[in-house]
Amino acid sequence: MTDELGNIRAMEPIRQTAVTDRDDFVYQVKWDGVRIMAGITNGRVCLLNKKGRERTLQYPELQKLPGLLQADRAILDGEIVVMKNDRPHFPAVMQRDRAQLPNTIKLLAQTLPIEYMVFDLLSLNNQDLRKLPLLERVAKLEKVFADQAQLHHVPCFLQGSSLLAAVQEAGMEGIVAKRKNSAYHPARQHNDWFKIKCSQSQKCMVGGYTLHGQKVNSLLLGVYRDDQLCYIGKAANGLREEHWQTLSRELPALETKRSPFAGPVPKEAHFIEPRLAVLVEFLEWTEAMQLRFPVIQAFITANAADCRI
Amino acid sequence: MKTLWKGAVSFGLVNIPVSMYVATENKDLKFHYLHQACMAPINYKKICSKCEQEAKPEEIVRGYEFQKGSYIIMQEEDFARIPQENTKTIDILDFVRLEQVDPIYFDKSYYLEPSAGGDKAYTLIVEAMKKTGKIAIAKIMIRSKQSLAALRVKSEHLVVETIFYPDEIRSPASLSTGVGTDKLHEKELKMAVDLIENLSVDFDPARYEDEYRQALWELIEAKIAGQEYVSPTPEPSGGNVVDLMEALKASVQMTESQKTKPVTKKKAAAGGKRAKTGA
Repeated sequence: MTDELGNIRAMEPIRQTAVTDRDDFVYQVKWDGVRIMAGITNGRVCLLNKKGRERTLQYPELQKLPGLLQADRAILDGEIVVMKNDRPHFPAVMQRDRAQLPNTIKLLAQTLPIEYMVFDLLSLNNQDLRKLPLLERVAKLEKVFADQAQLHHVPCFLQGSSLLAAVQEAGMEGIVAKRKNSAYHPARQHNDWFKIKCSQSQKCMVGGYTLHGQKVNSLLLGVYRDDQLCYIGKAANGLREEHWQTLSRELPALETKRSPFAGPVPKEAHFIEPRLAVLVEFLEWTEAMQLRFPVIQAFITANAADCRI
Repeated sequence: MKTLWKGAVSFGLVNIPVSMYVATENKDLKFHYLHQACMAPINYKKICSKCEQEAKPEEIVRGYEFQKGSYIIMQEEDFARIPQENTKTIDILDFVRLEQVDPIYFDKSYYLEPSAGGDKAYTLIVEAMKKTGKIAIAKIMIRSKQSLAALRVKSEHLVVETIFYPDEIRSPASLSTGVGTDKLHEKELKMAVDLIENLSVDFDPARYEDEYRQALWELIEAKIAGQEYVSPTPEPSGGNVVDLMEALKASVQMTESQKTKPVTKKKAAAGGKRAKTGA
């Protein structure tokens, strides 16, 4: 099944904290989803994720790819996203990615349809294109299929700064900067692709805290999902010393025995009723659906409905 | 398939590094229990039967009820005191013929795949077992439970079948067995034998399917098609990728045109339009 993709490994961008506009680079939206390479061989489709695991069954929508391409054989590289509230929604695409039973997959394909955002073409009709400059690969890719429902080209922009600003304003994940003449290298073995992430924000309920001695040193955060408060990590950054002092005075008095969270929490957790809400900025969702690098921005007035994913 | 376990098959002086995978899966449809008033899933909480408080995981210990209401408490240290053989090895003890193992002994099936460096020894044992027509009896630890297992070859792969210990097989001695054979008529027996012969085929599992599950699934699909579903919190609507892309492009153009105004504090940027290659 994986013959067409062979040992091809995904090229991964290197993280950078800021973007500089350069003439030798193009810039693309970083779609927040699951990286998927699609190998099309004489009517058959095989999908692999960036770890090389097969995902062909999970995305039956892409079985129609052979009929849509102007080629018998091709390898596409892109990101699969699921839209919710007009934005790519990472938890939703993870739900698709984890589905195993054929019936569940069939059902989710209707309720959480995917979009395949294609940004690269690694081979075309048995011709390996990975040594070609990026812009030539992209030009060939544009001739391979036309933009349509569930199958899209990821456009290239000439300015990174304005794209990053637009993406930030739209509340999306970030951008990728790609050197125009770069070949396709496996993994991070290059200096040609960079990702610049916007921080995302999320309203969260505080359902507990941890102590260092007598002092509160982190807040345990949760969001509601199907009416359950799911633990999404602890935040220790963003607050000033006086905030921690106030929390250390107030929170232990509110301690309850019962965990308000569904599922496991850190061993050292102390719990409170989920009434206090905070706004956090974070880098991304981990695959375990926790926040990476959460930074508390503010205490906010919010109810359970605001703190949902 | 997800790796369940990584270790080695120990066979004489040879150690064959392997990864183990669960070979079978139950495809029964799972149902959730919902609270009818809210249509939300029922949660389960661990409540102490005495103080009626919810118990945190760290407040829970294991006890063996040796007589009604009296428990022997077993701590992690207690379990650690029991000598365990290497938990990462499938130790081959004997080789036997498959027909000699009654199917009642078989419990769960797992596939073994050679790990790095184990390919040759793996093929060697597979071929040797095929040649001799024997299967191996081995000891294996799965999730801190020691099991007896049979290793056999199925389409060039090693398959581990965990098998029950003899004292785990219940005796059918107390069950009744019909009448004595002297009560049967020769003719009746012949008819039954003929019937069996008439219905005899080669075993082909593909001929059988779970009709109940299929019917159940069709019913569920029909309910979904008829929008007969409930959700405690309605799902947000999806969205259109093309609209989002257009909005981003418009936003980029807006920023770029603002940047070129002399009043802006940000440094003016050259270029401006999208790359020609963008669709």
